Amino acid sequence: MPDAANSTPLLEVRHLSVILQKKRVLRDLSLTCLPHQIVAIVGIEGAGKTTLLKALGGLQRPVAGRIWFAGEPVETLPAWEMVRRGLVYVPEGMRVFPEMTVLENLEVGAYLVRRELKTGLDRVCRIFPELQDRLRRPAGILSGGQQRMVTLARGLMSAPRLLMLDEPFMGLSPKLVQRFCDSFRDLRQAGVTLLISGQLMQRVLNVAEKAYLQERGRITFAGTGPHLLQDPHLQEIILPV
Amino acid sequence: MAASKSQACLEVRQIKKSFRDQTVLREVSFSLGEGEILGLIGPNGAGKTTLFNIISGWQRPDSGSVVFCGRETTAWPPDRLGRAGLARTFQSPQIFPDMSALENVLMGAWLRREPRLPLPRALEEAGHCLFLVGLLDRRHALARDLPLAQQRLVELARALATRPRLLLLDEIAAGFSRAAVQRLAAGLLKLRDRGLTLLLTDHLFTLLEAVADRLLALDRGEIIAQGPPASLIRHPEVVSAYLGTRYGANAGGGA
Repeated sequence: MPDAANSTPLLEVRHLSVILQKKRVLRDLSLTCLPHQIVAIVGIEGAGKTTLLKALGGLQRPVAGRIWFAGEPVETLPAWEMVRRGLVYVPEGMRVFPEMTVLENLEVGAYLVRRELKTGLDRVCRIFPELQDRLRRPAGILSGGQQRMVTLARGLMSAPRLLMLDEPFMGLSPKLVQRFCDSFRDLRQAGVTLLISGQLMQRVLNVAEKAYLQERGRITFAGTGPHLLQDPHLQEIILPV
Repeated sequence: MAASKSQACLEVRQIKKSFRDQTVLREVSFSLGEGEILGLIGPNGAGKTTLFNIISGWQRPDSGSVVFCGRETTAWPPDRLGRAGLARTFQSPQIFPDMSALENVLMGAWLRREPRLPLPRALEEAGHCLFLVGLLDRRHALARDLPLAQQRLVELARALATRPRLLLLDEIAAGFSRAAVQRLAAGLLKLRDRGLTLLLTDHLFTLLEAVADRLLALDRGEIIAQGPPASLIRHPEVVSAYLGTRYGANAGGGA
């Protein structure tokens, strides 16, 4: 395990349960993220992955369980306070402010850390050079994939300590997925811990120090990414043909 | 092979489109035979969705024309095209969030068909379309409560409920599991056997390989290559613009 000396968890989740419309979506779920790790959560649709990330981001209240971030309990805090502490959730799909320019969208991400604006912009333009020439355009006229880049970039702009990405690759071309995964090392060096959730996650699992398989609201496997990749059950249910 | 059926279902002729100072499509032309499945690939921002919007009447081209089933439809609005047999889905599903899955599909089966079916018949057909996409047991769930991938299936069912001749699918499989992609591919091939013509774009190569007779690669508003999936995947321009040089080592779709 890397960072053995620095093994106080950045995020610790214990016995989390969430009920949505009388249905238990998360059951007694526990997981841990150490600082600077890449942590993957894999599961088919309906497994409760999005609900889990929403609960961690303060957007969905659990009915039971505890969440500690940087050693402090946070399960009752509002979403904006989570962001202020560095726990940032990037939702799936394209969620831009369409009338605002790309730059303004990115500035919204940096609202609480305005001093980091320049560093953040440099970083996201390195990862997504396509955005550089489009900073002054309204985000709503970009293509779907480019809006997805803005959504991810806005999350990066908020100087996250823990960045939670929901299905980050959906709608991105294979080449862009490759480039985005190549940026993980950079992000880690900048002190970012990544919690990435999705279905087609081969590339993430290749590099993930910790990987969880989520099924029907529970964690059914925990190990390293490469270890999970080899799990026959996972191959059966998830990996691409 | 379906591609050899020569009657063109769709002809796209020298389409040009710009937004402000940005040229999105430069003289794009291609045709699609009756019963053919054509896949459109290309990097983000290549113009794929704009092309879909123009074909389905959501946007007008600056010049060029679209011919659907022998009639020029370039200036037709989407609802008229819908009644003429052209249906589509969107990259971000455009469903009615506060209606149930069944009610959403009913919109296709009842409102979009001429002559209008009696409501009980339309309901029956809507149910059948939900069954086809594997969502019959979620028919009473509100569309907004469904996971994104299931919202895409609701939209697909709604499109099918209009009984289209040509169906346009814009990244329908984004967020699908392996099993769901396999089911979708089998379903699309079955629909084609019943005469449906399909134009689809997706970053999930496994789906395109499984269903497409032919692929078109679009980059910066131009068609840079076309051919069967197996040959296009090795085309140098396609690799450099779209797939990335390490794709071979990680083949298997969006991640």
